Amino acid sequence: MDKTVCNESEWIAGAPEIRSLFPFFKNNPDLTYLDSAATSQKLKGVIEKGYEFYSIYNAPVSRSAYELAYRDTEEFEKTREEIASLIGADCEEVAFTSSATGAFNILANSLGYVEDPRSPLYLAEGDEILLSRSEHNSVLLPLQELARRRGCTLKFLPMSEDGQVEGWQDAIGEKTKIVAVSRLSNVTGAFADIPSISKAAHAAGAIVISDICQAVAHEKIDVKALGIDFTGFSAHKIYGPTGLGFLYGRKDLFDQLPASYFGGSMVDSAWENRQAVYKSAPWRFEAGTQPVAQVIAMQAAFDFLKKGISETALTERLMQASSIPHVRILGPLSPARRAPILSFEVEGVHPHDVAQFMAVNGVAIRSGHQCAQILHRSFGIPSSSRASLAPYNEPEEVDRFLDLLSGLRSYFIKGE
Amino acid sequence: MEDISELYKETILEASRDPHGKKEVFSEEGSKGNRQFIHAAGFNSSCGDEVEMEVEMEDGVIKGLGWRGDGCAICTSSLSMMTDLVVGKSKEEAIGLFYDFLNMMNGKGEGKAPASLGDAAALQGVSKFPMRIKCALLGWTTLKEALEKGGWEQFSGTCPIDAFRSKKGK
Repeated sequence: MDKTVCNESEWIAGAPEIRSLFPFFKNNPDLTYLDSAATSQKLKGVIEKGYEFYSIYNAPVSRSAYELAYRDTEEFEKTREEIASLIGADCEEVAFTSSATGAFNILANSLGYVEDPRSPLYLAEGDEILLSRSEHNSVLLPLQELARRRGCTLKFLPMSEDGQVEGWQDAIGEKTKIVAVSRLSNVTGAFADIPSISKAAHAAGAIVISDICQAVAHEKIDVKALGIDFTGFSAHKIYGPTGLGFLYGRKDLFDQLPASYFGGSMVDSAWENRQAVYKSAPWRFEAGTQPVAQVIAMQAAFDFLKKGISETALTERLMQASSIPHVRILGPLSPARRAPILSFEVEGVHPHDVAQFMAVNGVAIRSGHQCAQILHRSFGIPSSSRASLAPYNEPEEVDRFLDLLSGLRSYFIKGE
Repeated sequence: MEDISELYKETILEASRDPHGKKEVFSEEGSKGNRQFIHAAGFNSSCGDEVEMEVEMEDGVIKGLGWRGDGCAICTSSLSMMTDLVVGKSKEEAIGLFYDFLNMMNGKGEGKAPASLGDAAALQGVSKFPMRIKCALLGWTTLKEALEKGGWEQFSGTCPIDAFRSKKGK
C-alpha cells in the first residue's frame, strides 16, 4: 500500500495533510466525495478570507477615495496578478467574470461585435468555427449562437474510439477562423494536444480557444506555451468560491476585442450624443459591481494551487476500474494520458441507477450527460457516470468506489 | 441516508429487467379506420433520457401503448407498470391515474398509495428521493402529452404539479 505523505518539495494527492485543509470533510465524515470535476470543495482559507472581507473591509472597488475602498481595490487587483501568474499570463490579459460560462459568453458575444474585416477576430459569412466533440455546453452553445448570427459554419473534429481529439491537421483550412478544443475533457479525462492544435490553427490564421476549467485543477497551465489565444475557467473548480470566473485573452487580441456587456466601471467617458469611450482590456469586460468578496477570497487558494501535487498514484488506482468486468471506460485507459476524471458505463445498468447505488452507499459521483451531449452522442449513449478526484481524496475512498463498482451490476441484473 | 431497498423494491427491479410495452417499431401516426395512433416524446434534461411513445386509441379507450428509449430502472419500471395499468382504460380514467400517480410522487412517501395504481404503488418509495421523481414521472408525463394531443383538453397546458393541485383541490 502506497504511503501518502507530503514533504517540502512535493505533495502527494491523498495525503491527510491536504484533506485537513478542507473543512467539508470534517463536517461530512461519512461521505466519499468523488465529484470534484463538477465542483471542488473549498479551502478553509478561502472561506475565512470571504468572511474577513465582509466583516472587516467591505467597500466598493475602484470607485472611492477613502482608505478602505483603496485597500479593496488593491486586494482585488492582487488576485488578478495571482490568477495571471497561475496560468502564465500578464495581468492585463485576465478579466473577472461570473463563471467560466460567463467568460465564454462574453467572448462569443464580443467576437460577434467585431466589425473591422481586417481584424483577426472578424468573422465573415461562410467562415468556419471548428470544435472538438468533447466541448462542454458552455463553450459549444455560445459559439454555436455566434456562428448562427454571423452566418458561419460550425464543424467538428473527429475523435478516436477512446474519445481523444484527432484529425485537426486535415480539418483546419483556409476558412477556419476559430478552433475550440478544451485542454482536458470533463468527460473523458483526456488531455488534448493543444500545442500541436494551436500551431496548425495559427499557421492557418485561426485563433485558438481552449477551455481550461478542468485542466487548471490537474496540471500547471502556461497559456503561452500551449498557444492558447482565449480561455475561460472558474474559481469553484479550483477550491475557490462560486460566482467567479476568469476570461483570458492574449494581449494583442484582447485589445482588439470589443465590449459586449455594458454598464458602470467599464467606461471612461459617457456622453449624451457621442460614442462612449470604454476602458482598455481587461477592465472593459467588467461591467457592474464585480464579485468582490469572491475575488479577494480567491487569494487564499493560490498557495495551494501553486504546490506541485502529484496525482499519478491516485489516477492509477482509479484506473483499476477498467479491469472490472462489464465496465466500459469512456476515455483513454493509460493513466499517463489522462487526469483522474473517469466516465464509464456499466453494461445493462443505467447511469442514474449506478449513481444512486453509489449514493446510498455514501459515495457521491455524477451521472447524466455532464453538459457534453455531443460527446455522449458520439459514443452512442445518452449519458454516463463519472467519478472525479481531487488531491484531497484518499486512496481508501477510491477503493470504496471500486468495491461498489464491482458489486453493483449483480444488484440490478438477475443471476449475476 | 435512505435505505436503497425503499427505492429499488424487487417488483421494480423485475419490471425494469423485462419491461412491458417496450417496442421498437411504431405504426404511422394518424387515423386508421376508427383507430387513432398518437405519438409523443418525453425528455429528461438532467440525465439525457428520452422516451418515445405510441398510444393507440379507439372510441376514447386506450387499446394499446408502446414505448421505446433507454431509461434507468425507475423510469423503465414505471413505464412498464403504467402500460399494464392504462391499456383498456378510457382517456379520462388514464388522466385520473396520471394525477393519482403525480400525487403519490409529491407525497414524500407518506400515507397509503392509491389502490387505483395497482403494482405502480410500489414506486411510492421513489417520492422519498426527490432527484428520482422525474425518472418515475417521465412515462406518465409523456402519456399525458399524447392524450392531450389526441384531443384531451381539460387539463392541457404545462404539467404540473401546482396547476394540478389548484385544479384538483385535494
